[in-house]
Amino acid sequence: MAAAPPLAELVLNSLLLGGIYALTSLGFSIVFRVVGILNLAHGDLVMVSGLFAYLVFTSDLMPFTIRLLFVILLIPLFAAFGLAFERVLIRPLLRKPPNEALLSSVLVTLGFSLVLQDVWANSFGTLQKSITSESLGLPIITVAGLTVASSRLLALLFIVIASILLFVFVRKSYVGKAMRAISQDREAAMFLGVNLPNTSMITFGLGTSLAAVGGILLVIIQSVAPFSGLPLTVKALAVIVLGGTGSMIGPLIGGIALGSAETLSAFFIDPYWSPGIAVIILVAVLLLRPTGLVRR
Amino acid sequence: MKASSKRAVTTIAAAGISIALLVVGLVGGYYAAIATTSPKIVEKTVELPTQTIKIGMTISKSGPFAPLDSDYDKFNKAWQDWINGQNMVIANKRVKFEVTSLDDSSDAAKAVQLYTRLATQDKVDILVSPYSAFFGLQLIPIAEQNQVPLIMAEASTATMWTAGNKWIMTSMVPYWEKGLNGWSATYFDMLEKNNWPKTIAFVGWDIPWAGDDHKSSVALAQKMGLQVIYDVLLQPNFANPDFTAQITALKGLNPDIVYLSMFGPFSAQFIKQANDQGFRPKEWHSIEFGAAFLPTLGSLANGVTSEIFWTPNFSFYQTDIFKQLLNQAGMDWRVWQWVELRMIIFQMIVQAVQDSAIRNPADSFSKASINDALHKLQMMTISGPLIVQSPGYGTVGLVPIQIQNGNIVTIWPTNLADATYVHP
Repeated sequence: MAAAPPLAELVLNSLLLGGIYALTSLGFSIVFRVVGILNLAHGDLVMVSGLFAYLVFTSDLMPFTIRLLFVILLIPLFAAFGLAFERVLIRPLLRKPPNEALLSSVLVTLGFSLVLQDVWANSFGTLQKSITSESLGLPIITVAGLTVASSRLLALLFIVIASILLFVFVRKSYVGKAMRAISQDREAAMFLGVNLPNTSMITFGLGTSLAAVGGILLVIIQSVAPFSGLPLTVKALAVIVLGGTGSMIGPLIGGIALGSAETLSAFFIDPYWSPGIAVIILVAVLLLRPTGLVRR
Repeated sequence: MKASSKRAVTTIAAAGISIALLVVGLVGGYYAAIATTSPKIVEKTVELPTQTIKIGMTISKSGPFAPLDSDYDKFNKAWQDWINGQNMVIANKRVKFEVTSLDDSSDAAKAVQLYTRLATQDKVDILVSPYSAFFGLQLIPIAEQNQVPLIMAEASTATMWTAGNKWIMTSMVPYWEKGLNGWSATYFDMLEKNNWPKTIAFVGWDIPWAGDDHKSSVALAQKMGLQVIYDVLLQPNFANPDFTAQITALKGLNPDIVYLSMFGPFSAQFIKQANDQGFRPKEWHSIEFGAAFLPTLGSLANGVTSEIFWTPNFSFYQTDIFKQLLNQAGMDWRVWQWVELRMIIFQMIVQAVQDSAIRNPADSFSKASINDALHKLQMMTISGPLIVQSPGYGTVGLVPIQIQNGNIVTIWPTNLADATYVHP
């Protein structure tokens, strides 16, 4: 079938795919660990961020640097939206016992997901939105025989920087430490004076801002569409199950493992069975390491 | 006054009076005629009973198929308004058409529920399938059990027509065939005449429609002597699929043509990703270019070839009306690529109702009679002549197009082409 496999290129693209999986899962994961709910609208927030980035990038009214600035501004805007979302829709649920809160959150966020889809479809149409590297003036580059779009390299760099910043924030800042404390033992954290409602709200804002980053990258690398959010959430769920919910780097490892498994099995084994192979890996990991690849 | 002058005056007066009488007579007669005939016309209009032909269908207004057909609703409305404005009289009845379209949310199980409702509760006279053969296949039992004609719109696959089904039909050629009728038969015919490519690679989705096209085109490529150097069918993935593995393999093989048999938006995704990985074959061929294909790719779409059943330079039957309806619906045929099949279906329905009245005057509007007429259709459509064959499929085929400077141009056959095929 194929000639000698250009392994380096394959690995680079696997990393990039895994990186996108990781980034979109990271926000989903921290909200689950700290707030204790499943935000099923997370994938839709990724999509909506991608839509806004698309609208700004394709606007002819402003010079490119201003457009880029507006796109970056989406990240704090989404964080602010996340704070408000938690305060209005999630906070009331957190007064319930944890199991009920989890179940209620599934219903509330699923409902919000459907609302986002319908509002988008009716306001901006059902067609996919996507931006090519060329339209952003980002060239395809070849280094040491390795060809890759600079947009993809930038995305990879962005993912690495975002992950490092998040890691430092969680390790060094007071809020980050509070988040870790809550995720490890909610009641003990409360006894030690951690402000649970505020930390939950900030975590939700952080998770939503990570969704915004994912959306901006997704519209450049792939595409966004009104009804693609939920499948992305399901993928994020698979990634955190694979990586493990016990630590911050779990989703990063899970995302890269899933992305690499899909790409490499499609190349070396059979592309038809690649999705099935990814599921087999997921099940195997769960059987051998029920807490995921990364332990607490 | 002289006698001669008097005679002249008398003659002129007589002529004037005659003319005046004639004018009075004519005007009076005209108004009398209006006064007597108009009430009769009105009376006749009122007297004609109305026969409503109910057409039922689902459209994927949400879910993954929404980018491909959600706006068909607007076209249905535009057609319904137009046809009912024609005041059609068939078999001494004023015939009205009523189109009901429900949202199946791109969910085959929901589509089955809704078609059952349309057939049993709403009691529609004719069903029209939603997008994709996968859905269409599951609706056949509803049509057969309830004996309601079901016209397959963008849905056709070999197994539909071999099971002896009596209530289904389509306008399209049997495009799964590996010969003259194959989906890309005219494209490969064009390639053979131009004789430039040596190698071809195939990547497709394993779903009925795309799989049929894929297999028939592999056979056609081999038949014309092309070397097939890559051939994979993938499982469909509607959630941002990644094609890294296939593109990496293709880069190593460097085929002249890459033939993509998957939904247009995902073909666009493939081409975009290949470009990002630095792979550009001499030609991309995508079996679909609608939805977000052009906006996704921008200038990358230039040179891509594809197929379609109709382009604006066709001038067979009701082309102007079709263009007018598209305008009214606010639809761009380049985005809603298969909307021409919807127009053909409506043309089929009108023709079948008319034929039914001629063939079976006693029972013109029954489902059985309309079904019989649909199976015997021989008519002209916006895409050319249609003769429904005995298994139920039709004769409307596709023509190759190419995207040139952002425009879609017809490149083959020569009698329909409006541009020259650009190739290496």
